[in-house]
Amino acid sequence: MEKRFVGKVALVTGATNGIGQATAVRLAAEGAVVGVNQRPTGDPTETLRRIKEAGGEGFPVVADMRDPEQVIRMVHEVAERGGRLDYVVSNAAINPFMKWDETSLEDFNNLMETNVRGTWVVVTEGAKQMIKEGHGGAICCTSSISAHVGAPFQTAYCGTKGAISMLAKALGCNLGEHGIRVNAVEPGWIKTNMSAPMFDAAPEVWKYYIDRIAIHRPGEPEEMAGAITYLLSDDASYVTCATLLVDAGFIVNAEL
Amino acid sequence: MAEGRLAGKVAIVTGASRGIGRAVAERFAAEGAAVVVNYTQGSKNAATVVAGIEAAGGTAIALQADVSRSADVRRLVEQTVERFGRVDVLVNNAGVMVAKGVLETTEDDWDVTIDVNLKGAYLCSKEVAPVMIRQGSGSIINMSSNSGLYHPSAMRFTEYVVSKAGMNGLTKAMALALGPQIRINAICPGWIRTDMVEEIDPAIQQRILEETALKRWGTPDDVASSAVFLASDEASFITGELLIVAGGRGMH
Repeated sequence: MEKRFVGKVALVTGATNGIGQATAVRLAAEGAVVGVNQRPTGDPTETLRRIKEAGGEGFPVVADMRDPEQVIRMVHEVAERGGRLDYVVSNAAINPFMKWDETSLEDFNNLMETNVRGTWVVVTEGAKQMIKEGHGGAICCTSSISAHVGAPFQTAYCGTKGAISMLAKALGCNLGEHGIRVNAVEPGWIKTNMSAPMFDAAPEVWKYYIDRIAIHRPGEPEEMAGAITYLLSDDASYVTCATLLVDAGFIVNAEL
Repeated sequence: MAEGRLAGKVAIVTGASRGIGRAVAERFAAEGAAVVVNYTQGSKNAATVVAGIEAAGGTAIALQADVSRSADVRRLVEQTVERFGRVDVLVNNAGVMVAKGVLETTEDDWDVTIDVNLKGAYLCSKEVAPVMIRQGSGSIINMSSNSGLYHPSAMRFTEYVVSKAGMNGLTKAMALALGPQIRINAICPGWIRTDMVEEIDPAIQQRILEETALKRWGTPDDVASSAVFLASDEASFITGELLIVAGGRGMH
């Protein structure tokens, strides 16, 4: 495999499973030293095992994305242990499937604090660190197709993802002059723990999604990792303030 | 077998004798693809591109075809299949821009812009699609423009903007129609330093740079590396998407 990230250091939040895990493993396989974020109750063992198996290097860092102090401390810890910071992948998020009228204020606050404020804090603190080090860098936020379309059991979640896509664009405008590119990926239906409730859904629901997706299957976390590492790499040297849908043609299909 | 992210693939790049198309052709060849360098009139330039690719150890041939003529397009695809046996990637890059205000443009300006930019992409895609479906896979990349998007970055060259907006619609509709075997995406470049930029008033050049987050012009290579990504298996779950390669232009 081509190694695009040798000598670089990355922080990936929400890296114990799913898209975050696949991205952390891919970055490490391509030479980056990776800070593998877990929440205090999380278990990074599997991600670290896969990194080792890929011949890469990574270490666990703990932070609850709802706690700005923990997040800031984590950014500095990664820069210190890795010797520098080049990439932040802000990926940690929660998506509790619930109806809009069953979403309590506490649920809403939890979503906003984890998904939106957590993204803001880790991305801005990471950018400050990159500016201090003076070598530029790249940031990628995991947003969602939900930034564009509503889903009945993910109402508040959709709001957080709309915010994340817009934050990536707005921050990109400010960070370009420091040589830092900021983009977001917008995954469609990817096979992860987060989307598990959709796999348990009734066959007609399953069929509805499969029919709508132009290539008629859900995506794999590794396919997201391919898109995220493209956006971080020099291949995307002129790509900033961009959102990249990785949904295999789900959103463009209004035929059904 | 050649190494690289496009090793073993066969690619047609239309309008590849100069500018972005040339950079895409060269980059694809460097990544291991056998490349068809299509041109309309620039046979000398196309020969130079092919010679450069061959000198670097790559594989390329030049094929003349006006993409706005269906007979030419049929010949282009037939000759490609004859020579290389398959078509894995099509880059619809051939394009023209008439730099006049809308009141100064003629009906001919409209026709030529829509015919080359939009009908050309339609004809080429339609012609390669059966080949790709037969193979079970293929990737089509439409070279659109940031100016064809809805957010505030449109320029005033009406026919051009319309052709690119049309190309974005073409991309989405064809992605649905030609999946699951074929992925179709568009790249929407912002201001790329080509001959076109040199002709712009320096004061306007200055303003464009100020409004671009990365504070520099894009290069044809910046676009080519994104085309490699979309052409490759790395983009296996991406279709019907418009990828903006504009250095953050149009976001302020």
